[in-house]
Parts: sequence; structure tokens; C-alpha cells
Amino acid sequence: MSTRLLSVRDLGITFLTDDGEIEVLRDVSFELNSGEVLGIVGESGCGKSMTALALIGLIPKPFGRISNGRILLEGEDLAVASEKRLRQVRGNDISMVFQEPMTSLNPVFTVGHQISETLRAHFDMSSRETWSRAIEMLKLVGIPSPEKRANEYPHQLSGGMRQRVMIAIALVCEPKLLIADEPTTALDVTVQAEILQLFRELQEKTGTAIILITHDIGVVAEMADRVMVMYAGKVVETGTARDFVYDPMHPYTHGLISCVPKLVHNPSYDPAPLLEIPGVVPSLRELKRTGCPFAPRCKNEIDKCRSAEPSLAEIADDHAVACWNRMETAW
Amino acid sequence: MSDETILEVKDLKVHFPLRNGAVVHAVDGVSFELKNGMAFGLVGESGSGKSTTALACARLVKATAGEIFLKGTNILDLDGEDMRQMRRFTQIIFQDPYASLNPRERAGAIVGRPLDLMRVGKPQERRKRVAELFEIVGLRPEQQELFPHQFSGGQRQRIGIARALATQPELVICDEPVSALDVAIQAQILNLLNRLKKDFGLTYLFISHDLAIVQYICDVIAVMYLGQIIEIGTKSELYGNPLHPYTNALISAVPSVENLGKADKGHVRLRGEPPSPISPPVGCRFAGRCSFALDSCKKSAPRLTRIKGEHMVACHRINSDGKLV
Amino acid sequence: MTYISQPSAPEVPVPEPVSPARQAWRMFRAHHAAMAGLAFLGFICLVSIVGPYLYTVSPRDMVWAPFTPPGASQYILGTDYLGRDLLAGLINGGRITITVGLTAALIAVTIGVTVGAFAGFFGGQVDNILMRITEFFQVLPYLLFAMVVVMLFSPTIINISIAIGIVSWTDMARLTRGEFMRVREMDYVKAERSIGARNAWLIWAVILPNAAPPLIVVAALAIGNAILFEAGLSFLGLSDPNTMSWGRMIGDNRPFILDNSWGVTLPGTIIFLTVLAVSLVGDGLNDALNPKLRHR
Repeated sequence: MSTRLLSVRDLGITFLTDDGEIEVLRDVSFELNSGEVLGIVGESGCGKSMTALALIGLIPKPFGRISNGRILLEGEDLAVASEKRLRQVRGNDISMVFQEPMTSLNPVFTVGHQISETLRAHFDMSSRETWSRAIEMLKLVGIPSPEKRANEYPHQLSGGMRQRVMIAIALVCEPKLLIADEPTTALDVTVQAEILQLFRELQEKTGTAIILITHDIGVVAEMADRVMVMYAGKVVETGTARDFVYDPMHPYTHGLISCVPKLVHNPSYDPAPLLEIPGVVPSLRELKRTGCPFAPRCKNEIDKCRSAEPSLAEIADDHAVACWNRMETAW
Repeated sequence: MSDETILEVKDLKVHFPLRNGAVVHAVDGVSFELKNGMAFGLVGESGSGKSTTALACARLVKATAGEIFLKGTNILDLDGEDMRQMRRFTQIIFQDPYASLNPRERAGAIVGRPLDLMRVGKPQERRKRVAELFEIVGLRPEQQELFPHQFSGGQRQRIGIARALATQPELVICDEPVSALDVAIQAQILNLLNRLKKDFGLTYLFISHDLAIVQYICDVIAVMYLGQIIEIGTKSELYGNPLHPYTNALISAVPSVENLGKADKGHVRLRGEPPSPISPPVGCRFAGRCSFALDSCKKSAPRLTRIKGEHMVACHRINSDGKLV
Repeated sequence: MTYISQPSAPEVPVPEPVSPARQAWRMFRAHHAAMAGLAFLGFICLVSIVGPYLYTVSPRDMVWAPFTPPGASQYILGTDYLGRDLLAGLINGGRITITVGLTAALIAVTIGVTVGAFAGFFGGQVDNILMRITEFFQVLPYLLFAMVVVMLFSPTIINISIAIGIVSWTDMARLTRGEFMRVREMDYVKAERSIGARNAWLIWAVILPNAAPPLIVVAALAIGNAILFEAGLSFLGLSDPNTMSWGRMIGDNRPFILDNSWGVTLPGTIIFLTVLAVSLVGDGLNDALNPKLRHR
């Protein structure tokens, strides 16, 4: 069926700080098939964005470095690839869409120019060809009258339009993998619905695999095939989107899903208090190296959680959890 | 909820003149009423004027026209010391806990500021009150000496809430109080807001773009679009039977876990973009994006009409029985 | 009144309060060049204050043969063209130079911050008028204006300081205005407004402390500029004839630079080192007060 596109094994990233070297990512392993959508969820500071940056070789240097593990894109290890090779990979094989569409577009060039520039950086094409390709892309991402819009500057477009342009830039080289880091967080809900829909349509059309980083449980549920939950720089649960929503095994996953109010259409809805995850994500500097990092906030905590750190264990087909005392019956 | 009206806004307009002579119609004829102990939600997307409405109610932006009655007094007529005295009845919880606390003041001083300004009680009594407020919002009184940068986002928001409660206000304006917080922290703050409302009989004017959060907190909800309220109703009326096409689109756009793997289906699609608030359309402001709009919708603006109970909607296509005609 | 049971974990100890000022001082201390600059400035100030009492040779008296090179007599730095002791000149001149530098910077900061604060806080017409005034001062030919002021009124220390202050406050005003406009929109200012804080409090107690970091950096650099400006005026002979200053030493000894280079190079080096030290301190302050700009 689908082929293995990306395979990340035991990825570790360390950062040099004033207090010495700290591990921001530990033992992150996951697989991604072509055409698949993987959702990465977790609170801020859990390592979601760092994972994405590692994939495209954009860990902030010189403070951060890959300390361990491999990033295999179709068999090629990007963790040890040269800067030159990574530049080829970026935009061509892997591209990225960021949260803030205002700051990720260059304000002094027209959007058409920015799309053609991306093409020219990777292919030997005439400017006439790249321009017509740029207009094609604008049409593809649903921008009305693309010939006119191509000549406009980012500030002349609305937030939703700008994000569409970003997606056009990301997809123009037909990457195998698109990484979207909170792509709709800065957008209004009706615009978000359109952008997500666009992602889905494009993904079906082009077969691009997507890594979608988000904190919105609803977005993950609607978009992702598989979900990876991260906490304190580690993967705590992976599984299908269905497992994630209906059968979460890790208390953190369970907490994430039940702490968000859900829209209910029932007129007699009287909300019960939301389930809280007490406390905050630990700062990685203060993280104790013994025991489960989530233990201090966990309602399922047992003695073992404080003494030994659980590792990711397969509990069912394509469903793995790192927990000593997982949720038995979730709902 | 009692019948006493805390806040009544009548035909409020807030217009901002631009340098080139044009005028932004940020809020254009908004009326609503808040009863004691109620949580009133104002929802809408960016540019709908919900935050401006809230700031006008706290007299932090200048109203162009209309009346705002706080406990029966039109605060737009007040000035100087009279207005200062009224301010203790309204307090605000801001969106961004990183911007709403003065980084150079200690947490205790921040919470105590309203008491100092209003000269409530003796200094020792104020100190006691601040310690009490810390406990009420789930912080420890020993943390008073710390500076804002020593707290997490959720704790900072708790400090902001403690400050808002200091003068025992009756009306608390919550301007997107959880949208800058992490999901797990949102639940803590929402539950806290609900507890406080119950314990102190607070009245909330709750601004949010998140329909699920508004449903969780609020009793009555008004949906705003381009400076106007287009639908208003109790929680069960609005979510159980949304009438306005825009409300429907808004509700259906919320991604939900029930819609597993179906991002491309099940959402009402809106055409185009909201028109500019500088020259809003003459007729129904939503008509250009509405799939039910007739030519007549573009000619005359619909009025907010009562359907049943609290439920009111501004749409030509909805008849008095709440049916689409 | 009912209390709400709190879910927070009480076993975590409360950390020491760390004020933003203390944080900045920690960062500043880690900046070695800035600390060296600060030490040098401290040394200069100390010598200027107590030096004249310990080394009582008058800088105006002829004490030895003119043009004595350093090390050739009991006056270790030698003498100038009038046989005046150069060391005494540096010690006494430092006093004047530093005083003028600090006073002029203080005047510039006071005017600049006040004008900028009102312009930035009130905006609108107030801003328009104040900014036109600022522009007027900005387009004045600095040196010429200062010379005219000093010549019209007598060239006393205070007049010189005022002249320098008046021509150098405009940058401060523009920066203050910008910072005020930024901080004015912060939610904590809105929060103060919403509880009825008065404008005077908002300007001086809420906005100014938060607008201060970049202003402090510029104020530090203004001291260096004022020292250079004073040296320039003295060099042109526009200094108090009764006092010695570093700039005046250079000016006096200028005609004899070929025979007696140390008469010019010694005060010149001291001015250079002092201004460099001020810049280093300014740089350290910038890193300490605007930590986000670090690690670039």
C-alpha cells in the first residue's frame, strides 16, 4: 500500500544554556507513511515544535544540537546530512507552514514573486514558467482572481489569504512531507475551517504526507490519521486518531481531551466542571531524571512512577503508551 | 440570577476616525442588558467589535453615541471623580497575562493597587485582603513578594483575576481570559471563573471567539458580526436552535472530536471575506457571504427581532416563528 | 465570605523574589568588558573627587621648566608649554570634565524624557506641538548654537553644561516618545486606567519605569557624548578660563604638538579611555536590560 516516508529513531536534542546542557527532546521515535497525516499534540514546551525544526535541520545553532538518533527520510539520514544537502531537502522534499502568516511572508515582495522565488531556488526554470506556476498554485489554494492577487503585497491580503499563500509556497515544489506548525491558531474559526478543508483536499490531490502540530484536540481529530502525544520532550502515547479520541491510555492524553469544553448542540446541556490537569509543564532545567515526568500532575500516580521512568510500550496494534498505570476504561 | 439589571447598553456606537478622514465603524448600534449574577457572552470573529464593546463599557475607549447604564447611572455622562468612583464596580480580566501585569511591581502590590487607589480600608486591612485574594484564586499568600516573571502563564492570569476581584466589583469584564493560555491551564482558569461567579455572585461580560468556551461559561450569548449583534439568546436557545445563517456557520466551523477524520465535510462554508468596517454595506452586513441572501437583504438592514423568550435574531429570512422563509 | 479550596501543591517552596533590576544587575556583572569600563569610570571619578586633596600641586602654577617630558622630573607626567604640571592638570581637569559630562547629560535626559513622555502619553495635538519643537532643536547646528550660548553668557561650568544639554536632548525625546507609545498600549496600563489611576501616576510610576531600559542605555551614552562635546568646546577655547579641563589642556598645548606631544596625547588618551569606558558600560546595560537582543 503506502510506503514508509519518514522514520525517526531515538531522536535526542540538547540545548546549551547558562545552567549547562539540557535535553529538550529524548528518545523520540515515530514513523510516517506517504500520504499520511500525523498529528503531534501537547502543551507548549513539550517539544512539538522542536521535533519539527529537527526534521528540517533548523534547530537554533550554535546552542542546540542533535545529540542522538536518526532521521531517515526515504532511507537518508538527515541528522548527519550536510548544511548544503539540508538546503536542498528544505522546500524540495520537506516544507513547513508556520503559525503566524504575517511574519513569515516577506513584506517587500509580491506574493507571486515569493512563490516563483521558491521554485527558482530549487529548479532551473525560466521566470515565465515560474510565474505561471505561481498563479496555478494560487488558484489551487483557492485564492480568487489569482492573476491579480499574484501582484499584491502581503499586507494587502487578509490573514486567511496570507496563510493560503504560505501553503502555496510550501507546496509549490511538491514536497513529500509538509510540516504545519499550528497553521490555524492565529486564524478565525470560519477561516480555520476553510484552511483545514484546503489541507485535506490538497493532501488527497497530491499525496503529500502532513505532520500537523497543534494544541487543538478538535483539529487533530478531524485531520489526523495518527496522533502522537508529547510531554516534557518525550512521546507518551501514539496511536490512531480513533484511539486518541475514544481510547486514550495515558492519563495526560486523557486529561488533554477532557479539559477542553466541547460544543454541545443539546438545548438542555448543563456543563459539569471541566477535568483539570493540575500544575504546569515542568521546566526542562528542573526536570528530575528519575521517574515519570508527568507523575507530579498525574491522577493515576503509583509508587513506581516516582522511581522509574516508563518507556513507550506497544499495547495494541499501532497503539503505544509510556505509562506504568494507564487508564483502564477511558470513558 | 436576580432581576436587578447591572449593565444596560443602549444603541452603543464606537467609531474611530482615521487620518485620511474615513471612519471605522467598530461598534455600530449595539444594545444588550445584563442581569445580576448572569454571565453574558459576546462572541464573534476578529473585527466583530466584541472587544471594543467591552472596553467601551469600562470607559477605556470613547463611545461615539449611545448610553451605558451601570447600576442605573449612565456612565457616559460621568466624568472626573464621579467616574473614578464608579470604576470600582467594573473590573477587567485581560487576555494576555504577560502584558496585563506590570513587570516591575510585586504580585502583592499589583493585586493591592485597586484598593490603594480607591483608599479602601487601612493599610493593614488592605494587606490582609490581598492575602485573602491570593488564597481565593488558588495562589499562596507567600507568593506576594514575587515579581510577575516568576509566575507561569496560568498563575499570572490568577493574579489578574485577584486584582479584578479586589474592590469587590459587581461586573467583571473578561476579555478573552483564556485564549492566551495552554489547553490544560484553560480548564483551571475556566473552572476558577465559574467557582468565583457562584461564590461571590459575580456578573460576567465574557468576550471570546471560542464558541465552546462561551457555552461552558455563559447563560446568555450575543453573536456579533461587523459591529452589530446579529443574534442573541440563552445558551439553550442559541446552541440548540441557532437561527442566523452566520451563527450556524460559526457553530459548524468549530472542529470537534465527533467529526473524526472529516475536516473536509460537515462544515458550512462561507463565501468571501467580511466587508470593511470603514464602509459597511447598507443592507444586511452578512448578505454578501450568506447563501440564503435575497436581493432585498442587500437593500435594507434587518432589525433584531424577538422570536421567543430571550431569543432575538436580525435576519430578513427568519420569520417570527423562527422559520426560514 | 466563603473560601475556595485551592488545588495548588503547597509543598513547593516559594522562591526568592527576583526584581527585574536585580536580574539586570546579574546579567551586567557577567559582561566583563562592561565591568572593566565601570571599574575605570569608578577610578576616574574617585581620582577626580579625592585627587586634588591628595595631590595638591596647582594645575595653573608654573612649577618646573616648560616642555619637561614625563619621567624627567619630580612631576612624573612632565609639564606643558607654561611649565604647568600635567598630572595636576589631568586630576583637576577630570573633575570639571566629569561634572560637565554628568550635568549636561542630566539636563538632556530631563528635558528629553519630559518632552518625550508628554508627547508619547497624550499623543494628538500635544504630540504634534512637542515634536515640532523637537525638530526645531534637531536642525540647529549643534556646535554653533552651543558656542553662541557660551559666548553670550559667560563660559562658566553651568552655562557650558546647559548649552550642551540643550543641544543634545532631542534623541532622548524621540526615543522616550516611542517607548511611551509602546508601553501606553500595554494591558497593565489599561488595568491601571480601569481602576481610576490618574495621568501623573500613569506617566511617572507606571509607564516610565517600563520605558526606562533603552532610555538608561542612551542616557549612559549621552554622558560620553557630553564629555566629547565639552572637550570640543574647550579645545576651541570656549571654557571657563579659571578652570582646567581635559579639552582645554589639548587646546592649550595644540600649537606645540611637535615639540611637546605628551601635552596633547595624555589628556587625549584619558578622554578616549573615559568615553570608551562609558560606551562599554552602555553596551553592558543594553545587554542586561534588553536580554532578548542577546545571543545574536
